Amino acid sequence: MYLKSVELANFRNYESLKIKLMPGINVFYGENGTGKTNIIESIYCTAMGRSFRSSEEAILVKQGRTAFSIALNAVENGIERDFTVDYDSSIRKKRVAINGNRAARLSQVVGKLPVVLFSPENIMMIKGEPSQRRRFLDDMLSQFEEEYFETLGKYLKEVAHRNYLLKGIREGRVKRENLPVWNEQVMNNGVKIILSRVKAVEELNLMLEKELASEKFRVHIAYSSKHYSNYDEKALKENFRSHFLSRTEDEITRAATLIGPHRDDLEIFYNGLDAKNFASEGQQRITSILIKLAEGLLMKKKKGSFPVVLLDDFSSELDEPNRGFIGKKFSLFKQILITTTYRENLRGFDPAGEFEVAGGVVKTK
Amino acid sequence: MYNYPQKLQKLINEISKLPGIGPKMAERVSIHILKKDVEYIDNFKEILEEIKTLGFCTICFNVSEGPVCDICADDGRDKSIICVVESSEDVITIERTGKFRGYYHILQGLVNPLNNVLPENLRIAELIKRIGKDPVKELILALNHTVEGDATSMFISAMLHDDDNNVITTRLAKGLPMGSDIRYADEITLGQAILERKQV
Repeated sequence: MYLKSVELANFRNYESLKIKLMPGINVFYGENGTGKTNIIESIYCTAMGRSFRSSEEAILVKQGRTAFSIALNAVENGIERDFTVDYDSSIRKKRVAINGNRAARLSQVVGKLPVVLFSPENIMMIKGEPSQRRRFLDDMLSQFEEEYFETLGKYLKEVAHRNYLLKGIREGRVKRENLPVWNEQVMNNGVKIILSRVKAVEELNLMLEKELASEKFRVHIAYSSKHYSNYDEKALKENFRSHFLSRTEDEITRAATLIGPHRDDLEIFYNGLDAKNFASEGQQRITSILIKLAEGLLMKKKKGSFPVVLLDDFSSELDEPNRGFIGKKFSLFKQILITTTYRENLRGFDPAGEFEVAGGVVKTK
Repeated sequence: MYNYPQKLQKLINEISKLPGIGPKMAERVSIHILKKDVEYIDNFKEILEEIKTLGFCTICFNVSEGPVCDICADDGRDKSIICVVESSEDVITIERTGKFRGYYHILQGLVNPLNNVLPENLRIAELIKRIGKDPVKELILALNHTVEGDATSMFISAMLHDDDNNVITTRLAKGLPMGSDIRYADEITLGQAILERKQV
């Protein structure tokens, strides 16, 4: 899939913008704070139903305005589809539509316009908290399977209900008899999520080994949890049940559900070593890029179409030979949108479209 | 800064407390009422006054004029089957289908711990009691397919199970809407419809 055009109205610093994109590499260059990332953000928002920079939609509206709109035209096998997002901050309503047909649920949109985002924050997947690694898996799986997105939403709500019950029990407001039903719900959806994630990690590893490994870099991922290591449905449920039997007192004291996919993590290895503790900053960056590339290739396999690659703030941090290696891997995709401060950062790339961004105006070069 | 006269502000504030009505809509509704003549407002007042006499059926907890609602008072319905719903609106919706001839039980909500709604705050105990008395063979749980609807269904079936009776519980099937084109059905609904398919 590739994007043919992007139209924005009152989105971030753009009052009105219309650009035509090309298959291949599209480069947006310009100084910091001119609005390059806003273009990438608008595409991500349409694809994922939310921004990667803010959870507050009202922030995306241009200052002094009350509503924004995004319209994308995407082409897949010669078939054009229109994706639109309209948000009105005065009524806090967002409408998302494909070919003018409004989606009733966000899960009906997520995954229809597959994207892979590379941003400087990707490195936090290595350096950061477990929540950032879970988020990576959840965002990817939500695009793969509509059902994952729904199940995850349900699961997180069930955990919130259960935690509030635990708090109520601690304060003596709530009877313990309330717990078993919620244990069962949390277990059922929790196990579904774990199984999907474990399968996805296996598939990512396959991509990392087969398509992305080189003599210099070998990256491997492992799903990790404090509570279970046998990823079989029956064994997992057994783990949940025995946990709920033995740890409930502790859970009541802390008013928190202490088992489940919301507490799991990923271990990431660079050339056999734990990347978080033993890889240099540069190696961590390469590791995160390779994992995202694996995500992109896996998405192509699952969806049967190329995801649009969004490469935010591509900097010169990678040294020359690594840049060559990574650059070659990016050419496996059909369309790539890159933002960068200087054109020179992209030596060795051959852009099909070039755009100069300055103060909310985009000039096609 | 100028604002509406206080009396109007009070009305807007009260209306905005109604479910599904935000501050903008409350303003519109209030101004609309303001434009109407005295007769309209008197009539409105009277209607509000009248509903004070309404209450809930002591058997099924549907809205009712007397202690027993019209449905529970109807002897011609099928006593072996009770349809369990969240609220009185659902009764009207199911009645409109014309496909159900049993009795109802209105839970007056769904289990929702985050909003401090626990099973004991709903009419579940009354439901269990009814089952002990009436010749009930089946309970249809016509509850939403949401986290709260799922939990409520589980609570009810668990409590029935504890009571050791022969009542079967069923839930409404998830599936395709009538007249829909399967090509346009969302994946989850279509997937469910495949799982819950029926022999023809």
